[in-house]
Amino acid sequence: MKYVLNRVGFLLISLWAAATINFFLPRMMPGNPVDSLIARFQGRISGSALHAIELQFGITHQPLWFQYLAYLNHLLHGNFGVSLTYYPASVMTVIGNSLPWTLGLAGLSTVISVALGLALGIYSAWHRKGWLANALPTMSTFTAAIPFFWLAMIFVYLLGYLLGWFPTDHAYTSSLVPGINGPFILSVLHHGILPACTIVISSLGGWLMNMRNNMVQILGEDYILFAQAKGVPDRALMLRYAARNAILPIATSFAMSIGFVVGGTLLTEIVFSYPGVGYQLFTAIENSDYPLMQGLFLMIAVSVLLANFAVEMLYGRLDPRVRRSGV
Amino acid sequence: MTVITSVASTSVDPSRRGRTSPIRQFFKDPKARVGFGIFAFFVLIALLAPVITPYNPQSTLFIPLQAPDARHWLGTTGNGQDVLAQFVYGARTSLTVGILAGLTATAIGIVMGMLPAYRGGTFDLVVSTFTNIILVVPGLPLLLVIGAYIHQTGSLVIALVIGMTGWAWQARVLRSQTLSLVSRDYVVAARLAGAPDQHIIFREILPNMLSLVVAGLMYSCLYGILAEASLEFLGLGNINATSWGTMLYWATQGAALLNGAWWWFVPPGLSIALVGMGFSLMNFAVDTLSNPRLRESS
Amino acid sequence: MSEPIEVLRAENLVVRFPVGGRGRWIVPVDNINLTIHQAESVGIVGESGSGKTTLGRTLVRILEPAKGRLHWHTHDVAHIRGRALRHYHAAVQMVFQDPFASLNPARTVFDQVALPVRCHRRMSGAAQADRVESLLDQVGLSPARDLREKYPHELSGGQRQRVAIARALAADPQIIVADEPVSMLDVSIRAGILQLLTELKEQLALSFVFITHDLASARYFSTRIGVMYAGQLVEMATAADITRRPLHPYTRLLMAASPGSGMKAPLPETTQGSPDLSAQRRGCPFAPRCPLVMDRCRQATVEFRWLADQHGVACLRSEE
Ligand SMILES: Nc1ncnc2c1ncn2[C@@H]1O[C@H](COP(=O)(O)OP(=O)(O)O)[C@@H](O)[C@H]1O
Ligand SMILES: [Mg+2]
Repeated sequence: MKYVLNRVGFLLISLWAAATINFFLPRMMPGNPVDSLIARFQGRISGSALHAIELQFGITHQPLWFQYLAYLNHLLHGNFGVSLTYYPASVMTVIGNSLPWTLGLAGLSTVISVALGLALGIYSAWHRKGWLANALPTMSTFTAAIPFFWLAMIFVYLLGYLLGWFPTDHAYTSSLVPGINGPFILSVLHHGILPACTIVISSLGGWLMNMRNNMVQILGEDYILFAQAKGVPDRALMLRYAARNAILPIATSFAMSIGFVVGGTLLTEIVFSYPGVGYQLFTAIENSDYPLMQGLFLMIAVSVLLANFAVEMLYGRLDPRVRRSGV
Repeated sequence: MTVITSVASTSVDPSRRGRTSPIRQFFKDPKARVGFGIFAFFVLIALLAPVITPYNPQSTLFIPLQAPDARHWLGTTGNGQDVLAQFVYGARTSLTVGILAGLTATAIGIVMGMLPAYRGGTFDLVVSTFTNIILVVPGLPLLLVIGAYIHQTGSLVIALVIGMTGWAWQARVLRSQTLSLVSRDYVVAARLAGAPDQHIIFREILPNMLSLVVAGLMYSCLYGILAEASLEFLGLGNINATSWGTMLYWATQGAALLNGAWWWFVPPGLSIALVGMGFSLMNFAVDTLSNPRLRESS
Repeated sequence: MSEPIEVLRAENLVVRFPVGGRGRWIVPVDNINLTIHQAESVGIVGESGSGKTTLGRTLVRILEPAKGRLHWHTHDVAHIRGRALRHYHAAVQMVFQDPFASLNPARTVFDQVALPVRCHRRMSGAAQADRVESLLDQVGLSPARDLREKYPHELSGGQRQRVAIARALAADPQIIVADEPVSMLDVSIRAGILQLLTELKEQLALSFVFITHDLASARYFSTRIGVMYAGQLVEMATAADITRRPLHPYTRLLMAASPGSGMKAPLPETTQGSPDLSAQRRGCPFAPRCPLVMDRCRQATVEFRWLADQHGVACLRSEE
């Protein structure tokens, strides 16, 4: 219980911190970048929308604390302002349209990559004499260092342009009507394979090496040797004794890994023009659509914080020691 | 990427420490040799850039989009630049920025990890909570947003910004190691000797976790190179500088994929991955050095 | 005999540590009174886990006492910090039990001995180097030149402990607390280290607090001896007195256990694990093991009483 409270507290603090970073970022930048933006959009958007942007980015004579409180108040009401690129659509609408694509892509890819990475890590630690088991960690150091966006480019070039097996942009064929129907779902899958492969391949190595290291570590522990001497079958030893304990410490590095995967997903989306938050973030940056950019950043941060929180809760369930000691 | 999860296990029993120097021991590991070899190879390329190619990487003298041949070993870009020249001069920027970012992150990580662990109390609570928050706030989106505001800035600023967003993991690792070292007798003895705090932190404790720091540095450099390439690729760095990242930016802008100009975008991406692999292998080897169990296995 | 000058006096000293959360404490130093005079050597004897190290670390103010006072000459140093504490450390040094842990594996012999010379004595350059050399000489590490640049792992256990002693001397202290300085060393080299400490004591007019679990070496080294059990001082007397007339049953137990004692074992150990240090315990802490235990021992708080000029004990039997 103490553990849960502790983690909930940390979640709240980090949500607040993300919102605060989001508030202060534009205000900390040299020469307020929004000034030129306002000048550019003068006349193109309504006066009240312009005024809202001025308030949002601190071009006002109100004191900072007042701006900050107004900002927090807006956030709590789900009011992220209007997007300039998609005017008059609100930032919230744009996020609502793009977030599901990213969650689907990143979520599915992460599950596949974690499962595959852990399995290969166990394999590589267990069969230490086999050539493949020995080659896997070294190969991982390479795949883990491949920039996501470059691997995406190679896929687009080889499998998209040269071989023509997969579409190279967007999430589905635009002539189809989105909905629960066969052709649409097939199209989504067809479009999703390359981005998903990019993410899986680039993030697989980290899980693999991590798992392998922990397994090797644990296989040397006395209790494993003891279980072996007692005649516990190899398979049970590998999975039930070693792998189980080796997975636990990985959860502690999950926080950083998830951020890394999300970053990679954003880059992958950009290369594939995949209509998720990464692609929208890039569009917003290119168009200097600061309200949209800030809104997306905050949303991405919140998603990552929530994902991390979910993993920590799961971790607490898996490892009773954590729950009791309230680390 | 290699994440060091085993913190506690990395302290060596000092009495068991071998007679050979750590550096020699490091190079006994084939992983370390390969990793260092890759790294040295690219450093050499960067240093010898003017010897390797007679061309100016920015001059647009040549026929665009030529495939590799005897004159242009790596062909030309869509703007008629020599790709090899761009590649070797780009290595300078990419390596410098990546390593500088890695050094910045490591330096911040040392201070933000060791100081609170040494001081303890509320200070530790506040700083380590802050570190944990920075750790979970996703780095790349933050970098992109900062990049969008400070548009088209110099490479030095980029390196510093990358370093400032990438120190948290190392701070966390170093904090827990410092916590386990502060109560050691030799640290207590240094306090009895009247040594000032900064002496104890940097001269008594830090040298005993050098392998962690070096492993972290390797890892941070890998992060730095990847982050720099990502920013440049999106056009958020200095697009007029020559680096592996900007090469990829211009390759996308110039529709290198559609034109089948693989020689334009394969070398820089491949090299980023190779340099990253080099750092990763060295990180691995340093980790192994301080963790006897991993040593037996490889 | 002229009145000895008092250097350090602990009054009702209490040190405690939290254990396992929920406001539970152990009290490894429980209401201890102890005086150390100039140039004398006080032995502290007790079995492992009785709080000797904790007491020693509190005397040198590595630890801060929860209650009580610690008088250094006329100042109370129980809770000083910062510059004042640094000042105090120049006068009160410690030799640790484990020479493998007390020397920094990453720094040379010279670095470690020079540190207090530089920080406490403010010497640098040639003066500092000379001082380090003479210190190494003094602890029998000569020629010092061969050892200066060595790292701890290149030294034997005995050499390391000599380096640690040199480091303690380097601050030019008035008191050295030596915490079981030979217990981690090979038997064959213990005598050499003890010999060295004895010489230093005689040459330098230093006060020593000599912590040991073995009564014989305490008698060899100390003028007065305090016996500790479960965080309390149970008996205090001159070395001669304690040998001739041990009053506390625990002291007698120790006598019996120490090699070369003429005494036959009159008090068989009715052992039950290590001493109970918890803050909740009542009565005499030795009661569960005491062969002479009475009903009263389990409830009454036992006061430490001076029976003779230099002989005190905390035992209800001694009142009879
Ligand atoms: N820093 C500490 N925190 C908690 N408990 C401690 C600490 N230091 C010592 N103890 C406990 O205090 C008790 C006495 O230890 P110590 O003073 O080392 O006894 P001795 O030196 O006589 O063996 C032991 O039970 C030990 O576990
Ligand atoms: Mg002890």
